[in-house]
Amino acid sequence: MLPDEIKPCMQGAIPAHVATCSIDGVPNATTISQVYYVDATHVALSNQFFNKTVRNVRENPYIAVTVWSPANFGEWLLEARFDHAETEGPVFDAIDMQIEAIASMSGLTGIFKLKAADIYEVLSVRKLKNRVHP
Amino acid sequence: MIVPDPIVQFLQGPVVSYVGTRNEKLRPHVQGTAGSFGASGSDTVTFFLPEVESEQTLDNLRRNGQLSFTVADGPTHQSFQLKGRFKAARAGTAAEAARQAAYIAALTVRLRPMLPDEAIMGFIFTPFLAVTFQVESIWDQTPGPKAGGRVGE
Repeated sequence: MLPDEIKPCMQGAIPAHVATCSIDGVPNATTISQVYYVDATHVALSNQFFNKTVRNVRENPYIAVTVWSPANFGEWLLEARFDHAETEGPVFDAIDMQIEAIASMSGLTGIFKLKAADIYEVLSVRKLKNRVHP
Repeated sequence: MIVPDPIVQFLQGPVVSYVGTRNEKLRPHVQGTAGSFGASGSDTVTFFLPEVESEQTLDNLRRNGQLSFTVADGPTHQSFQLKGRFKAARAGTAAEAARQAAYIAALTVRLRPMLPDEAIMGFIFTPFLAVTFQVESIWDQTPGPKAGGRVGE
């Protein structure tokens, strides 16, 4: 499902935008520092605060995410469904280390603390045709 | 709700912006936008939606009207989310096209410490629609202790 071309988009170089929707139909759109590549059919989002994004997916599991390529700035749109949360293990550990690295570069050390790695099953992925030179 | 003047000023600046919508099955969607404006004492905001890749956003808005519009300053991470209800979408005017061009130039400069100019300039911004929505609530999304707090209450 996820092509190799999208992997650089999931290394935290450029923030991503994620949309969710509450069970009563109110959209929520926010910036996240990174979408993490888990495998060809799964991605992970960091759960650092019990914020609106997390609350929404616990009641309506679908997300839409746009990620940017740091190589050519092409934009990708992913649709995914929340599968499960991990509070330990290799995915959790890898995300935790990445968060600390991004936080230190952004001057936001101490604000982020990983509570869980939320694992999503990718339902669709496509490269958007919104660049002059795709 | 009336949009506070500091928020109007913020969203008219060189901020990254995007809109979240949803379809009738509550499946969310997100799309980048390119410029926005409001007015002192007004409860509406207008943003510029590039027509390319806009089909899902527009279909969602016309079917259920619900949206979430987020504006964020790259270097400082200051950001706000405005939730509200779609009112209208129309072709951008010549004056709005000039406003958008100024916005893109300013955004490019603002993000230059983090991104090369081509990252922004390579997007297809025109043609675009001017989408107006009525603001119902505003939320502070700046990372930190106030994150998630409601603005204007």
